[in-house]
Amino acid sequence: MIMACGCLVLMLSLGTRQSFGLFLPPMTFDLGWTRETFAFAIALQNLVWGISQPFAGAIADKFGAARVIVAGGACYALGLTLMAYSSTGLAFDISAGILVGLGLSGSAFGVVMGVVGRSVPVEKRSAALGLVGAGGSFGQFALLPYGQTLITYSGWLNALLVLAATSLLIIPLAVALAGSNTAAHTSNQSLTAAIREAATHKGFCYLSASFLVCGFQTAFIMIHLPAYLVGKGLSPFEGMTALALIGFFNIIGSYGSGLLGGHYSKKNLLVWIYAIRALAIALFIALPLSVVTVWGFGIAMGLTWLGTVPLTNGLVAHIFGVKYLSTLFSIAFLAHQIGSFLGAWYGGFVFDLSGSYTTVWIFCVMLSVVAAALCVPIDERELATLRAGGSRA
Amino acid sequence: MRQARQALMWVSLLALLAYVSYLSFRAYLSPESLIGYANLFSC
Repeated sequence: MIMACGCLVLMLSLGTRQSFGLFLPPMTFDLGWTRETFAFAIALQNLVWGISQPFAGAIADKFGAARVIVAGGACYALGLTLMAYSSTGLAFDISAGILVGLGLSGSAFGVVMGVVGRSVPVEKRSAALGLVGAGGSFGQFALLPYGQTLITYSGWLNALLVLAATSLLIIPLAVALAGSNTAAHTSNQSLTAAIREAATHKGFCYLSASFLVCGFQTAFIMIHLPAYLVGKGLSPFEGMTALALIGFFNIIGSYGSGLLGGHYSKKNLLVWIYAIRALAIALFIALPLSVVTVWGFGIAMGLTWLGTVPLTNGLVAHIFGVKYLSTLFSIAFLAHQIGSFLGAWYGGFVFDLSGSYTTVWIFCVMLSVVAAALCVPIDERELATLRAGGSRA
Repeated sequence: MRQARQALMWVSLLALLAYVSYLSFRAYLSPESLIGYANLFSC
């Protein structure tokens, strides 16, 4: 029940957010806004999500996840409703940027995966995290056409109101995730001590830095790939197919990486993921652009898209234990969101400066190599075991 | 009996996911979607 509801909560929270890009053309046209007005609110949303995530995680660890998810669902629905009635840039920043950002921090990965990570036995944890992550990926894949259909048949304003009503479903689903932190009595370590321990653990810093790279790449590709393909003369059909392939294979990649994480070293799997990304991007820009290369790139990126999430979450749980899993993963996720912000911004900045994305693609390959290298020295051993043994890596 | 029921549940779930995926792919490539995609670069 916990896993099914966790899947649905992630499906709704991540899926709804995925369709925001569809609102850019009709909203900017009807309200007379510039693209920058819209884009700034979405960038702000990513930052608010990242900054508030560790706090949401800490509250969930201390007082239980259900309250945080209920508050997140309410903020999300309120934000979407106010988005529909925003007539100024400031109102849109508050609704789409701040409220939806807060809603996401309460109802997405950090909080939900913490509950799931604690609710299953250690040997099944990685697969369970992969399954829940796949639920979120499925939402991203399926709710985008849902948003498009709503806009087409009812207009963008009503579409936002329907999405707000849909996101309210998060609230009853939170009931299944209710209950206190089941790992609260496994150690007497305080939250501050846990954060200090993670901050001084080299592996956690490397893991967070590699997660920043993940955020940079996924945000850059999701926001700038369509423009890149159109600029290279590809039709909307090929561009949309690439996005659909990324979305679909992301479901398989999320679950697959979680499943593999239960059998193989999680840090080695992360090394593979970043290495595959480096190779896929390098081939994509080196080979002549065609339908085959675009689809191949879509499949490769989809398979490695959110596969990093269950592995990173699982690694944090394995090294530091699950008592403060939501908090510690949320801190790593803050790095991911900073990366997302930089990826979205840097892509546009470089394009405006040079009229080309080539430099950013090359930078993405280099970042992938760095991320893979950062994961190699991570010490995967449990800290609890090391403490008991009296040594520490 | 329990195993058979569990297998049936998984098969039904996979069939449902496959159907929703098919519908999603169709929706991605629908004329409305393609026009929306093209509009991203013209508004």
